[in-house]
Amino acid sequence: MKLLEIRNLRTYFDTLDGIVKAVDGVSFDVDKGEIVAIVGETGCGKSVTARSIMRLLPKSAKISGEILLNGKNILKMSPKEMEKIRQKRISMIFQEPMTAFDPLYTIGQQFTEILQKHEKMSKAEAYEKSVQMLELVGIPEAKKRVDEYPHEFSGGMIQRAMIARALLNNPELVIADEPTTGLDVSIQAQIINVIADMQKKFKTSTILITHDMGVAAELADKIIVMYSGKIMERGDLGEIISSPLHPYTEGLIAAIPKLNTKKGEKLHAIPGMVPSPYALPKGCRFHPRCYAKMDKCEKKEPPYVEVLPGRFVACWKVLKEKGALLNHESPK
Amino acid sequence: MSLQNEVGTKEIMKIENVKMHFPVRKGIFRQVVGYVKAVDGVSLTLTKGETFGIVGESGSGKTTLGRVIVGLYQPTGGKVWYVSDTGKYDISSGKIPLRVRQKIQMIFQDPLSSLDPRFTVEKALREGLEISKEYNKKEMREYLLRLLKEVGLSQDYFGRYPHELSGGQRQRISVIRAMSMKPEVVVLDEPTSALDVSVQAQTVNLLQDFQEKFNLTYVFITHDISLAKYLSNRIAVMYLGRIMEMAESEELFSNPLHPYTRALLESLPRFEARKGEKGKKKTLIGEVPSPINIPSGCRFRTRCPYATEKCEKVEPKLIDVGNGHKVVCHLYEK
Repeated sequence: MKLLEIRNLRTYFDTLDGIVKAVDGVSFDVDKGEIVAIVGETGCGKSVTARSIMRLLPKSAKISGEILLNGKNILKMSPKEMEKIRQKRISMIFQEPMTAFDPLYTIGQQFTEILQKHEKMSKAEAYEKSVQMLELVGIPEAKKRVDEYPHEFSGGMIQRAMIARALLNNPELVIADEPTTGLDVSIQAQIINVIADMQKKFKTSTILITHDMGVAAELADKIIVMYSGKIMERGDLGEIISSPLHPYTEGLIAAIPKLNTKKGEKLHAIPGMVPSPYALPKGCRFHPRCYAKMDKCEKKEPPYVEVLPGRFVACWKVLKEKGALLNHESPK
Repeated sequence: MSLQNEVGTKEIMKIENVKMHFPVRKGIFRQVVGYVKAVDGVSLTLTKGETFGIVGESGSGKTTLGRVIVGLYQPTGGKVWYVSDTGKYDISSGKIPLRVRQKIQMIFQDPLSSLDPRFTVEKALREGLEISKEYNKKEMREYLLRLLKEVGLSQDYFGRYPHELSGGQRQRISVIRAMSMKPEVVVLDEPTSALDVSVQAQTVNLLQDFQEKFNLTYVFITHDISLAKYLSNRIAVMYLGRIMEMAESEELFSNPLHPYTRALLESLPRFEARKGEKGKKKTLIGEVPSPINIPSGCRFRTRCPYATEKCEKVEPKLIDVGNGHKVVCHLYEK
């Protein structure tokens, strides 16, 4: 069952130096109860994609395309309707939980406010639910901690509280933006477990935004690889890990040192760097760094097509080798 | 791989029971109310040409130890010796000649804050060389140009300011800045953690090239355990200011002994096909205690699944289990 369908999403920013195409024709689905990870390097548009769904963008942003939540286009909704959608149906876990909480109110006060705003609930009931949620995400002595201020929580604990807050109103979709970045490995592992448990318990769909392929591999059912505002490859996690098709995905995977990489063996580096958003290369935007570049790649942007069932790739080389299935989602 | 053979033969630095305690002051009279024991008794020996990895979570004291090794901090206890061809120098005294201090360089985590925003690349690179008075103006320019070329940047970059460079380029400039002093030991403090993976690989390869060419000794400080394994000959695992386990890199990963090392390895997110259910990672409970109030006995006992009464009372000693594999844990006492 499809919960979210994104069709040809484009988010452009009008800046003094020109138009930045942060997200440039992105299409994907999120099924009920699944975790979809969006991975990519700095500037690939993964966070802007997330914020476009929440419509948490500055006024200079121009969004086009369709974002269908249960078949209804949320881009056409009024700000008032949108406010209802946020928190009630879609909620977000931010990268820096310390800044996402109000330092002047206790965790309990902030939770009760959210609960009472969206549901008819007495203060006592809301308070009770806040404690329950903190217990669920594994905060010890939740009854005591609920009355503490955010600064009294440690880094791992506040991230747990953030997850609890995102789940307060049983949302259908949670967007987690780099939920484990900046945490130590042992804490990161705890948070990975909490996110997986919560998904099992609440059957929430999750979009996980991360630059860490390892974290994506631990949690995701499907992976979307983005580069310079476009999806390069999308498919099932296992298939992408075992047989990446797009040269960028291949390169990304080869660039990570694995535990079995030997010392002295050179790491596979992708040459060059991510292009400036003001001067995107013509044709395929990855071609200046690609080992399999053909003449065509410099001239024409490859279409984003389904080359194997459930596997979408935007690459001329792959298209040549595999051909396309019926499902064309090429940009207009 | 001829250089690899030399590793482990010649001692270049000796760190003896180093302690770095920072006072905590409170009140209007700034009275000392306690100490942050960032490094609390670390001993190790570096041999020429090796890469020595130091891994640990935040607050483990790895960065402080790195700063003590280059002489940025004078330790509150213990000694740091640098053994060169010309003699043995006490880095921890803070009174060593400039030409010796130059031989130990550091590359920092965030190149944007370690490069002066008002200096062009050329000025930033020349600063250290001018102090050393080794080259005249023309020679210096030629020398720097050669280095610039070596890291794959053109002459155009001389006139640029740090904000005009990408993260990877900035880090390459800091690499040249350190390498231009012809160091023998370089402390790398999380040199790639601010970079994207594809750029990280470029920087790592570059560092390896320099090491091979000049037979450099690296101290590689990182929280990224896979990267440490990939780069290091030997690895030390730090926790709350102490080394918990130290071994050759292959040995540490194939045969981790300390419960902390084991837990760290279990916690690593792995990029491989998932076996079984997700969210079933074995992990440590709780978080790192404050370095002001270090637990009695073994400092890891509050999070250790094997902690006994003995661990609470007696601080474990360093045990050599053979092959240079050392561990600090009561489980391995005979």
